[in-house]
Amino acid sequence: MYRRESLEIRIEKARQRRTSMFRLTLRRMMRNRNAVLGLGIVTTVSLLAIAAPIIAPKEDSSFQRFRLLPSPTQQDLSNTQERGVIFSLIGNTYSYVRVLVSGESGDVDISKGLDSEHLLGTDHLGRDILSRIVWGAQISLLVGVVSQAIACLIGVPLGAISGYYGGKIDHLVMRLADIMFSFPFLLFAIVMVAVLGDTCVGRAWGGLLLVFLVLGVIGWAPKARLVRASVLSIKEEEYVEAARAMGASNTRIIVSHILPNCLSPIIVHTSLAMASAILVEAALSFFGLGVSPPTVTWGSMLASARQYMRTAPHMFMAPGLAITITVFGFNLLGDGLRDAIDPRLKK
Amino acid sequence: MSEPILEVQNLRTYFFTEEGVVRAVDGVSLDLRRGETLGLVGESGCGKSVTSLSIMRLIPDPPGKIVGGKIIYKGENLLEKDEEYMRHIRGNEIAMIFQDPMTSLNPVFRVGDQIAEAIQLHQGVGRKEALRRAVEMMKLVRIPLAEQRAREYPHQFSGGMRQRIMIAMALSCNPEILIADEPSTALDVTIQAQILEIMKTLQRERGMSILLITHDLGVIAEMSDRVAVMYAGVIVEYADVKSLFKQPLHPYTRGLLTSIPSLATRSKRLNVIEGTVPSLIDPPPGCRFHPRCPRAMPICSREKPELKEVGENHSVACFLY
Repeated sequence: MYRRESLEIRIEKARQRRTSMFRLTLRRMMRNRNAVLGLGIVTTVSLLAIAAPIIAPKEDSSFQRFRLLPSPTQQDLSNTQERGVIFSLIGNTYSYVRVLVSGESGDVDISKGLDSEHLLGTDHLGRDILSRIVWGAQISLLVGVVSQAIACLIGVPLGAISGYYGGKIDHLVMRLADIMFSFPFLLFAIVMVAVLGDTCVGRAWGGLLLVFLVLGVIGWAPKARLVRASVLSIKEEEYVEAARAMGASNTRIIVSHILPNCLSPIIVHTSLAMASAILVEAALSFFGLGVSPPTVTWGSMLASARQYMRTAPHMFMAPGLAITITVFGFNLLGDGLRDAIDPRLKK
Repeated sequence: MSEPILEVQNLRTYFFTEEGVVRAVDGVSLDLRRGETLGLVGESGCGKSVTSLSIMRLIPDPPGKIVGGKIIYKGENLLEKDEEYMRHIRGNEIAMIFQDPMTSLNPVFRVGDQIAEAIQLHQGVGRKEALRRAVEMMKLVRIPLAEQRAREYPHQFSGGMRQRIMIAMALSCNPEILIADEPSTALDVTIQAQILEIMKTLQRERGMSILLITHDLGVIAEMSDRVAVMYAGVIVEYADVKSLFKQPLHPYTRGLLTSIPSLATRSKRLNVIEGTVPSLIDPPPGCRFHPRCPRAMPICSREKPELKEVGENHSVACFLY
């Protein structure tokens, strides 16, 4: 009788103990208020982006709705031409410049403030700002996710190979990474987008593909370094030697024994790097580079709001806040993840 | 006695470091027969583990390199084989368990999957079948509730249980030889006895040979058929277990045996072997033990003693005999 009972107790204990790493991390994160806030922001923005076609009924993404507009004033035209010159100097924003110069789009503020029909008001062309923010969320998140996916795809294998094999390969990869690090991130992105903007890659998907590629290619270096550092310590672990003694090949050891163990720094870094990718994309769009109209991005919304800053502050408040909140959310999430995955880092 | 399944002849493994060449293993010869247990004893850093890693060809290169000798397994010299061939040997023909069960299991995999991976690697069976066999192996090493525990992670196991998992993993492909590198050192004494018992039983059932590496003479007395005593990269005495414990010949072996505390002859102080293990970069000339040897003679610092047979199944490398 006694044996039976103790067996049942042990089964029950075993069941309760069976908590996975994932659940453990999640539980720890839920105890961290900032992390929960970050997760909440990121989830909300993601849901908005996914549901854009449903919840942004006022406009669609390729908005071209004209309204009866008053003819542009002299002041506005001169503004426009000035900008046109600046942009041609930078290089590749013909379409954007054309829209501005042709004048039919007005450049005259018919924006309205907040009302019941337009929760965040309308912009200088009478477009619903809330709808455009929601559509812009799609682009921002896409840029964050896809560019980081590309960065991981390049950086993780390079870092793993570099750390595992060492020697000449290691030297080569790390010096390449050093070169990447020696460029200012934003400047490098601007130059690359400007130079490649007129190629067929640059025009694909309204410039979106180019932004993905540029941000992805720039982003590989920190990931490679991070992975290399973890691989260097993990490859000395006894279980790696045990796997080798089991007859596992190098590829197998890297893919199934080492990489899963350096997943946590990659996850943390990726969530933080998404924030900076989103920021850089916004900056590119603000300069009129990268994703070209009519695709809505938060950066280009900011750019067009710039000239109406005094008269219609709501026009730049909305995209500006959207960028700030989203980036803030990703940063909180990344910090929270780091604390949750490696609780030793916390005091 | 049956024929040897593994012969190590004059193995020399050096490490080329910045301070100089470390002669970790300098001319070791062993033979392991089918079904027997050969104990390899010695202090820390005497080259026991390097010998076992050399047999598996797992010496990290650089800085390590096997510079000479032969390792003959079933008539084939393993040192001449390519990596592909060695991968087939490792785990499948010669398996190994390590000293520290706390770190020899990958923390991110369930233990069942880890055992199953080894089976899949060598036996060419599907995932499901491999998992079934993994659970079977876990039952064999007497892990209670094996089906359930196969789905747990290493951190949910105690040290003894993890070492059982390691044994299950090592034996899952039915190897001919099991190299056990201090399998019980990290465990407490009662668990140690259980682990050794499991190894012994499985050896009897499967007829495999064990190369048991340890510094614990108690474990050697319990487990081995024959013993090789290593000192500073060379074998100093090689005998069957009974004659070694009854009549140790080499002064080093005697020192080892008398430094074990015993209830019968309770003295105030334990015997110690004076001095420390010599540097393997610049080993003493002649017999490597002579600076610490209580019975050193002038010849000991001049010439290197060869291992010579002094009795039935008993060889010693010392000028006293």
